Amino acid sequence: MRITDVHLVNFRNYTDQRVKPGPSMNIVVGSNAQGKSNLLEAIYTLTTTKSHRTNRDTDLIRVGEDSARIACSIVREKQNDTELEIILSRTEKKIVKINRARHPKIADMIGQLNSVIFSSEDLSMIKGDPSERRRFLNLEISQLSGQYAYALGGYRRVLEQRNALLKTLKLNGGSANTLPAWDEQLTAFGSIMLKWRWDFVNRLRSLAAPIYHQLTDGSEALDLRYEPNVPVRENETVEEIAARFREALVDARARELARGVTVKGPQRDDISFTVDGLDVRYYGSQGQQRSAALALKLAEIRLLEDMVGEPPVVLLDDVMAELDEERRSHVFDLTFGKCQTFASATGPDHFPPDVMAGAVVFRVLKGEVLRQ
Amino acid sequence: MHYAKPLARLVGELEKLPGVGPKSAQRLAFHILRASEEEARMLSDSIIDVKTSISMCKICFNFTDQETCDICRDPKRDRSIICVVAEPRDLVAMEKTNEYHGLYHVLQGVISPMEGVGPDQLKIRELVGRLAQGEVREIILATNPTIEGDTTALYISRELRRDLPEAEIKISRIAHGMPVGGDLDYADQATLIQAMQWRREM
Repeated sequence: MRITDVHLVNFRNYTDQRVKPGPSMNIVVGSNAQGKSNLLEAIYTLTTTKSHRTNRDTDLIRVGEDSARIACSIVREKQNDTELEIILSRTEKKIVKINRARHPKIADMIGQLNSVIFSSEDLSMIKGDPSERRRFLNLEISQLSGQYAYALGGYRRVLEQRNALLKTLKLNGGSANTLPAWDEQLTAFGSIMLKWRWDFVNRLRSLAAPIYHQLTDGSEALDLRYEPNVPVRENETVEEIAARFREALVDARARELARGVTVKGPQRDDISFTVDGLDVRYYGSQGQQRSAALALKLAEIRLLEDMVGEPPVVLLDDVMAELDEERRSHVFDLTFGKCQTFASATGPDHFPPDVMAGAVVFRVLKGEVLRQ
Repeated sequence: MHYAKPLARLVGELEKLPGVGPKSAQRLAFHILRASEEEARMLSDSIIDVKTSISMCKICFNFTDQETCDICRDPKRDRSIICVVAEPRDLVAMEKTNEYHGLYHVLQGVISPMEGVGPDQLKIRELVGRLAQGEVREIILATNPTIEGDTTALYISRELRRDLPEAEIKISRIAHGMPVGGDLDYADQATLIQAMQWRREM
């Protein structure tokens, strides 16, 4: 899968910019705050319809403008070529177009373009708050499954309503007789999420272990495990998970009413990372945490390739300077010549000569992209 | 913008209406200003009239200008079946089909804790009361297939099953899924997932 054309209009600091990337390595260089990351962000936004840097779409619109437009053309091995377009507005709802046809459901865009982004924030995912690891799960699984994206949207809405109800009951009392109906809705959506997360983390687990082994020259072994808030067992159906989730909610009823908030469910999941039996979330060295994050991202590239049937686009957002030479070479070994890659950096010095030789270099200056 | 005071007031009032922005409000206000006094009075009278003479049907809570609505009074209607909808406009949509000949029950909303709407704010107790009279054999829950509409339908079906365990009442939910004449290729994923979930045997 590769992108042949990107068009940005009033996106972040760009006014009207067309970029025609090369089929393999694209190196985007420039000083800080010129728009390198914004270009990568635009590609990622076309992947999931949401930015990885902000939850507010209006942040993406150029200051002083009412709307922004991002579009790209994609060439795929197994499907027809596709044009994707997102129009963001300060006053109206987001519009998505696939092959110039408007789609009323924004989620339809998800899965059209597959990309894996690796930014400096991802390097701190392992030691960060569990919410960052859940965010990772949501973004990545949504790319793979429309069903997951649908369940996640439904789950969030039900959770909001159910929490509003629990809060009212705590503050004002009243009848809790609508809770079972909300429980049924929460567990129907939540069990789909739990099942997908279980499968996703277990597949990542077997892919990340050998990569981490390589990264550390065979000296350390990584294990990652899904830590679901509601227990999930192997080969369990969504219905079985939903039944256990419902029981957990009934058991937690008194606690939920006392606290006025939902205490059970995938909004409290986590992933654990252990190296040689030690939990690196809390006890790992910075080097171990970075290697684990890198192994996870590289595993994800492989997983997307397995599940989608062709390699995803790889976005390396300013991570070159953060990685040592050894780790950098592993990244290139796994992606160079295989995945179309966009790598941003302040200068070209972090790229090995063979990568530079096959790369297209773009220089970004004050919101303008020039092919070198 | 500089309007004479009475005109500014009219524009301001019109802007409060749903779907009317500043531009439309201005256009409507100028239209009213140019119309004859008689036309303007007909409009203002009809607004007052609708507020003073329309109330809710004592039985089904549809809008009516009498004690009970035309549908509840119609002797040709099938009294053994009730279609439960959220809003009067949903009833109007259903009536347009000319295919349904039972009675209705308008809940006047859906359960939404975020907006402070619980079962007590809706006409659910009144629905249970209607069923207790024993004439009804089937309930069709026709709230919208949204999170809140689905939850409301779930809640009502649970309540009815609990309150009327021995009564032989069939409770059904309207089907969700592909629109008629729809194209699978163009359907959004949520709709396709629902259509698969609610499939039926042939």
